[in-house]
Amino acid sequence: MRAAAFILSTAVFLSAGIGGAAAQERDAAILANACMSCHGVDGKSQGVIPALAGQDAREMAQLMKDYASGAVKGTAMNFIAKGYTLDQIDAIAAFFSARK
Amino acid sequence: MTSLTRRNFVVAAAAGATLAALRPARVFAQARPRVVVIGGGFGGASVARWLRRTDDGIDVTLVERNARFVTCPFSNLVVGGQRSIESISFGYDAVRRAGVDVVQDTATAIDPVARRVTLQGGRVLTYDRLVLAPGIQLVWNGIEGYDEAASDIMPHAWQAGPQTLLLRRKLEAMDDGGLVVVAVPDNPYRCPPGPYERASLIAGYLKANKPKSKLIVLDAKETFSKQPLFQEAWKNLYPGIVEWRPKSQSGRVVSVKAREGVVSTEFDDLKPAVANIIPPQRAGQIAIALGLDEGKGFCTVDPRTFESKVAPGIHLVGDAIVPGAMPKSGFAANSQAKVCARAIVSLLRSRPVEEPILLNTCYSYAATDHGFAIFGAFRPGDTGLIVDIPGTVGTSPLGASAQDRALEARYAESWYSNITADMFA
Ligand SMILES: Cc1cc2nc3c(=O)[nH]c(=O)nc-3n(C[C@H](O)[C@H](O)[C@H](O)COP(=O)(O)OP(=O)(O)OC[C@H]3O[C@@H](n4cnc5c(N)ncnc54)[C@H](O)[C@@H]3O)c2cc1C
Ligand code: HEC
Repeated sequence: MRAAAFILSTAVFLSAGIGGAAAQERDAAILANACMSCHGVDGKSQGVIPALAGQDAREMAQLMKDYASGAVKGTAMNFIAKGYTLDQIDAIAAFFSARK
Repeated sequence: MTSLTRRNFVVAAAAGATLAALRPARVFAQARPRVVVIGGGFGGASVARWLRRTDDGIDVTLVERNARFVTCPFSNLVVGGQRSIESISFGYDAVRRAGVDVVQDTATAIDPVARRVTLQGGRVLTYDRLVLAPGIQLVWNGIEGYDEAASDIMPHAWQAGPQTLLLRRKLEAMDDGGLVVVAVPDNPYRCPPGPYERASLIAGYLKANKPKSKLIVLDAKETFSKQPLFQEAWKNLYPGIVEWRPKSQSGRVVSVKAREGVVSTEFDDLKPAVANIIPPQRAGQIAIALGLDEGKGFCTVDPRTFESKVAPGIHLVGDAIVPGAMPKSGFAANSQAKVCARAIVSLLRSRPVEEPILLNTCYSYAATDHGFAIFGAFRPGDTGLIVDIPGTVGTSPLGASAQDRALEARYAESWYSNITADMFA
């Protein structure tokens, strides 16, 4: 299930066509800051939207990919996760993982 | 105010320097760069906070005319009687503690050549870069007869505060069986789904307290944001209470006679017990006075830096800009502000400007336990406008269970706590 979702989501992101190498050079903050409108500054959330601070980076990245592919069903995340390349997701996940 | 600003504009032009030829001053490594932000709402408070969070070597001054900010988001819950105005009001103490110099005053003139802002109280501020986040102003007489005096009788409640409470009081004073009208302007206006959320929450109040009453939405458009979701909710939650009249069914309000209590569309005169008139809008006056809207009502900006296309060194975010595929929302203003703040730091520190992705979500309540949303992710497009990223724009599904609607209502609350903490905590 997970593997299938991964392959599917890879296809989604490749077809989105926003560059890989360039994305990695970029500071993830410009991308992660936007998530904080819902998930709280530095991923420290109040209320029912889950906190992202200190989450395991690999698990978080996988969940994002599964939201993008539809393998995991949510509300906001099934739309928002589709906006990012795999590299960008990894960078954002590393960013939130490092917030304690 | 306008004449002073116009004079500055003329001086700049006469000096042979068109606004576009002006370049912001070079900032030397040892100097502390100075950024002035005008407007302490969703856009401006966010820019100020994110400038400091990104680089605390920058001096940030925030000019806001009011001591407290009342958010338009969640103000429809105050109109509907489901929340207090205190619960949506915020002071600037935490902004100050974050190192922002908050000045409570009104900016009345900008000299883009000398890079100076004049405040009503007489203070003059200089800047290396200026951010304008003045939000909207209402276009008085955009609907014939609807001016500031008329809004004391027929509130707009489209800038939250006393107007919100006035509309609430009128609903409370109304007898059971009364007619409520909500008049909606043509696009573009602040918060596309806002009027329909308001209609829903007023309908909730009527159903529980004045069940013989009716609400008519008079619309200058043929379609509206999240229309199927709102109409589904009206049918299920408020049958027989809410009626929506599009432009083609004489929905567009063309004039009001506030004293006589008359609201006129193209073909009908209505005499509602409570009239909520939402007039057409344009960018806040400080941006218009400087000509940053090029006569079009809203200002075009570079989507990576949010710098004006007309006046280099002056950035704009929020409702005052032409936002491309983004709506005019508090969420969008906050997302733009974060990108703008990082771009300003990059420009001041001679670093390359980063490539952003912006987000927006507009949550709406049809009742306090019934929420739904429109989502989207955006990027700078090839045409220089903000475009949506394919596959990211969509809404909550039709026909969702009551539990799912209740969950999204709770997500909306969590969003509100987090975004207001982003600015004011
Ligand atoms: C009823 C309603 C419901 C809404 N619900 C939502 C929602 O659920 N979610 C959402 O995302 N958005 C919502 N919005 C939209 C949201 O309120 C706006 O998009 C947002 O406020 C825009 O931010 P801004 O910074 O451009 O303007 P504002 O937030 O209005 O801030 C502008 C500030 O600038 C100040 N100012 C202006 N000129 C000057 C000057 N010359 N000197 C000093 N100060 C000045 C003003 O006093 C004001 O505080 C809603 C709007 C309405 C009306
Ligand atoms: C509109 C508000 C909103 C925005 C913006 C948003 N999220 Fe979410 N996020 C949610 C909600 C709500 C959930 C719960 C799942 C769902 O309903 O989609 C969630 C869940 C998650 C989860 C799962 C966390 C867990 O512990 O289960 C991750 C990871 C996540 N989001 C990451 C992100 C990232 C990264 C961004 C920015 C690129 C982002 N989110 C932007 C609302 C948002």
